[in-house]
Amino acid sequence: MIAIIKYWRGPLFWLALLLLAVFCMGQFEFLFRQLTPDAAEVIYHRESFAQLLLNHLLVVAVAACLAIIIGVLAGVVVTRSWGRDFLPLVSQVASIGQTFPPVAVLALSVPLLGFGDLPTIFALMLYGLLPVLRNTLAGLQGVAGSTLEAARGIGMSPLQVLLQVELALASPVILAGIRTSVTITIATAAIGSTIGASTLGNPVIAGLVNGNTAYVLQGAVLIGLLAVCVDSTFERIQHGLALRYGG
Amino acid sequence: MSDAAMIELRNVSRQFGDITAVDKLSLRIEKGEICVFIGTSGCGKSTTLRLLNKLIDCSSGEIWVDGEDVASLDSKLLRRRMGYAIQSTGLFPHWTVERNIGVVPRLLGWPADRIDARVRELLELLSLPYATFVHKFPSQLSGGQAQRVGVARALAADPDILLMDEPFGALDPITREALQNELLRIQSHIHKTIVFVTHDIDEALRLATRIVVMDKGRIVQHDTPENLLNNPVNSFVEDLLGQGERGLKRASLERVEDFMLPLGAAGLPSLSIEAGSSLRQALSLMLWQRADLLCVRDQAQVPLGILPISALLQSKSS
Repeated sequence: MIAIIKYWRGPLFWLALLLLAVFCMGQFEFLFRQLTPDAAEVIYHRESFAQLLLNHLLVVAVAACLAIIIGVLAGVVVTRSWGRDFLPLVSQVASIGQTFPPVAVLALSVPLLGFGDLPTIFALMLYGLLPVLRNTLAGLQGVAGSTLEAARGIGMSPLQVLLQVELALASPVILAGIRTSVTITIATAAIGSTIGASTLGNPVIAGLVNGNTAYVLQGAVLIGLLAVCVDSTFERIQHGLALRYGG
Repeated sequence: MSDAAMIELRNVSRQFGDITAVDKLSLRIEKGEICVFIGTSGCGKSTTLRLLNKLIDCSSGEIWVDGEDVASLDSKLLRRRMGYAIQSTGLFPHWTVERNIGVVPRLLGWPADRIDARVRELLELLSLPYATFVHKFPSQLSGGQAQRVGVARALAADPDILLMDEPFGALDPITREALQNELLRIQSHIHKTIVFVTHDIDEALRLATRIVVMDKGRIVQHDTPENLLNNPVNSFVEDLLGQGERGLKRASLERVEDFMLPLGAAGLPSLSIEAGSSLRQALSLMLWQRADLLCVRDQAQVPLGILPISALLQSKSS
C-alpha cells in the first residue's frame, strides 16, 4: 500500500492541489482582490468550479476516447497488407493536420454542428487524433522485420502477430502519443467555451470579456493543474510499462 | 508419394515479378537428414526454405511434407509443426527467455506445467542454466546465448522438421563453431529432419549429411559432403569449395580411425591423437611438431593404432 502511494505520489500531489483549488478557491479571495481591486466580484460564481471541472473532464474523455480508438484503428489498418495503399495518404494527413491551429478546427466545426459540447468534442477529437495516429504508425513501423518474420514463421495467426507482438512492442510509443493527445485536448477544451461548451474555459472567457483578470487566473490555474495532474499520471503509466518490458 | 522422404519438392518454381528466384526445383529430403542449402547471395536458398513453411507461396509445383501436400494445409498449423530459427534470432524483445521459448507450445494450447517442464529441459539441452537465464530479456543476452534461445524456441514443440536460415551467420567464429558442435550433439539425440541454409562452405561440410549447391534458382549439385569434395560437377562448385583448400577440407571430414594402421611390435610414438579426430587435425599436429608418426588412442587413452604420415595419402581403408 505504502509502495503504491509512493509510486503515485507525483499525480496524487497534483490531484490534491487541483481539489484544493476547486473547492477552496473562495478562501483565496484576498489574493485575487489584490489583482482586481475595482471589480464587484473577484471569485467566479456563475457555475461552481466542480461542475465546470466535471463537464470539462467529460468533454475531454469522450473526445480522447474517440481519438484513441479511431487513431489506433486507422494506424493498424494502413499497416496491414490489405490497407497499405492508404498508408502514404494517412501519414501525410497526420503530419499536415498537426500544423493546423486548434482554434481553426473549432471554428470550422461550428457551421457543421452548431454550438455547445458536440462541436467541441468533434473538434477536439479531430485534433487529438493526429498524435495518436502518428505515434501508432511510428510504433508499428518500428517493429523489426525479423521479429515479424519470426512471429509468422513460428505459426502465429495475423491477429496474434498484431496483438501479441506488434501492438505490444509499439505500446510505449503509442502511449506517448496518447499522452500528448490527452494533454493537448485538456488545454484546447478550454477554447470550447467560446462556442458554448461548458468547460474550465468559462471563467477565462468571462474574465477576458469583462476585463476581470482574477477570473482569467482562476480558470487558467484550474486548467493547468488538471493538465499537469493527468500528464503526471501518464508519466507513471509509461514508467511502469518500461519496467515491465525490461527497458 | 514415396516411403521415407520427409520433404519432397516437385518442380517447384517461384517468381518475383520478372525474376525467377527458384526455378523448377525437385528435391527429396529424407527423414533424419541435415540437408544444407548453400550458394551465393540471391541464389534462391532462403526463398526455398521459406517455401517449405509457406512464408512464401510457390508459383508452380508441389511441396510434400510428411506425406501431405502443403498447399492443402493451413499455413499457421504447418508452421507450428516446423521449428524455425533465423540469423537475427527474431526473439521477441518484450518477452523473457521463458516466454520466448514457450511461445509455440502456448499457441498449441499446452498446459502451463508442461510448458514449464519443456522450457527447463530445453535450457538444459542448450547449456543455459535455468535459474540464470529464464527471466532474462533478449537484450540482456550475448549473441551466442540469444541464438541458443532461438534454437530452443525452434525445438520447443518437438517438431519433426527444423528450418534454420543462416542461424549462426552473425556470430563470431569461436561461438559459431561451438554452436555447430552443439547442434550436431543435439541432433545425435533427437534425429530431426533439419533444413539448414548457409553461405559458409565449412559450415555446410561440417554439418550436412547432404549438401544442395544452388545457383540462379537451380540445383547445381545435390550430394554428400565427401562426394561434393571428390567430384564437384563444375567450376562453380569447385570455386565454392575453394580450390586451394580442398585437400584440407576433405581431410577435415575424414577421421583418423579410418586411416590408422595396426599397432606394430615397435614402441609407441610419443605423440598421440584421439581416434575421433579429423585427418586435418592429425596433419596439423604433424606439421606443428615436425613429426611423421602419431599414436592413435581412444578417449580413455588406450592405444588403438599408429598413424604414419604416409597413411594420410592412402584412400580410405574401410
